[in-house]
Amino acid sequence: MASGRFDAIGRLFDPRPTRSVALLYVALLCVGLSEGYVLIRASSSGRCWSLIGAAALFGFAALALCGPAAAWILTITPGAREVYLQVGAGTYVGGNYNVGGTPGTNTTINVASVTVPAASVGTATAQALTSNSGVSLSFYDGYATCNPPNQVYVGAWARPGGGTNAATVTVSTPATLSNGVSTIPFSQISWTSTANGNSSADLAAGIFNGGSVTLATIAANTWVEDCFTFTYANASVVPSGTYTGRATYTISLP
Amino acid sequence: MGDWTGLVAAGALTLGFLTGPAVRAATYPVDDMATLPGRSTVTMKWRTAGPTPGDGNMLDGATAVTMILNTAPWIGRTGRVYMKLDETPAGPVQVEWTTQGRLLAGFLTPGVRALVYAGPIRARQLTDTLFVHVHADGRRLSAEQQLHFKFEIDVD
Repeated sequence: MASGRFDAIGRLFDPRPTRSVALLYVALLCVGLSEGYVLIRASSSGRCWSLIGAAALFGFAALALCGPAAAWILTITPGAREVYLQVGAGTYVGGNYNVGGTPGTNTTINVASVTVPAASVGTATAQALTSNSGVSLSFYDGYATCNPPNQVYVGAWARPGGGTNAATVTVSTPATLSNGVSTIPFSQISWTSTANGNSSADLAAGIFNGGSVTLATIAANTWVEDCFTFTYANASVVPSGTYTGRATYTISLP
Repeated sequence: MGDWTGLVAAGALTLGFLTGPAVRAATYPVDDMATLPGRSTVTMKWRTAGPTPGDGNMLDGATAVTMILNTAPWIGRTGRVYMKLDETPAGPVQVEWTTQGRLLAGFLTPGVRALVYAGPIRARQLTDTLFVHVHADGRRLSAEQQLHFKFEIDVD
């Protein structure tokens, strides 16, 4: 047994060890310092204990060879979850996005309206709404995307950050527009969706349904924008007066 | 008899360690266990304030680390120290750093190594402060990811 121990040491410091033997012994001598610990546990033979004893005797030499390598670990976090939705008026601070602008808050609630001539009430002649939104330019790059006041700018983007879910833009309305006790179904109002320079709409055209309508599912890190043109179907005779109702646009990121 | 032969051989080899370099010209892992901090977390921030087809999906982060490399085993030798970054599921992460001059500034992507020192090893430790900038694709980084850095030395 004794000769076996020294034979092992001798091979360890042999100037021309075979690769496999050298690696094995170096690993075994790195007791508790690196992967060598695993190898020690894997071997319960007397030979292994002999090698441990040898390592104790020549520990300084073992350390010189081993160089236990820790790893500096840097943890990186996902980006923050962010959403942006603009319907009509909006705000970007410091210029458009493409020149470093950042999203701001704008509490304006724009109004789209139409006055139906008395002779046309209930004739089913569609009536185009106009808005008090003057937004023509996209905050993305300043491009003249919409043609107000007939069109209302709608733009949105989302960054899921640590998630992978896509954002959804919806619009919800009550069942009716109201004028005291008189009402007009919200479903009498529809919209088209277009944008200058974009032949295919990102946000869907549709008809209010007195509930929620999905306009778009936005892929992660994607900016979508379109211009809505609203139309009143004018399908029924209603008492004169001003009928109002609010459509609420929402972006959600699960 | 065999015992004595072995003992003499071991003693001679030990003496060799005491009297001169016994490290073969090869690549060895370098212990960076003393690095401060040993583990860092970088809060990544979007490079831009909204998505674009270009670099609008990029996340950037920065930190500083005092890198302390144990070069004691190679004192008196000449070599080249490299920093390596393991492959990561976070995609094409890019790491770049500047230093205070002891180590080399550089650039690194997963799976490759970058030279941080070349020359004689004169001290037991090779120390420098690295100002590290990390860039990652926000679309690929859906959860925290650990970047594992390792050091190794090519000894002449």
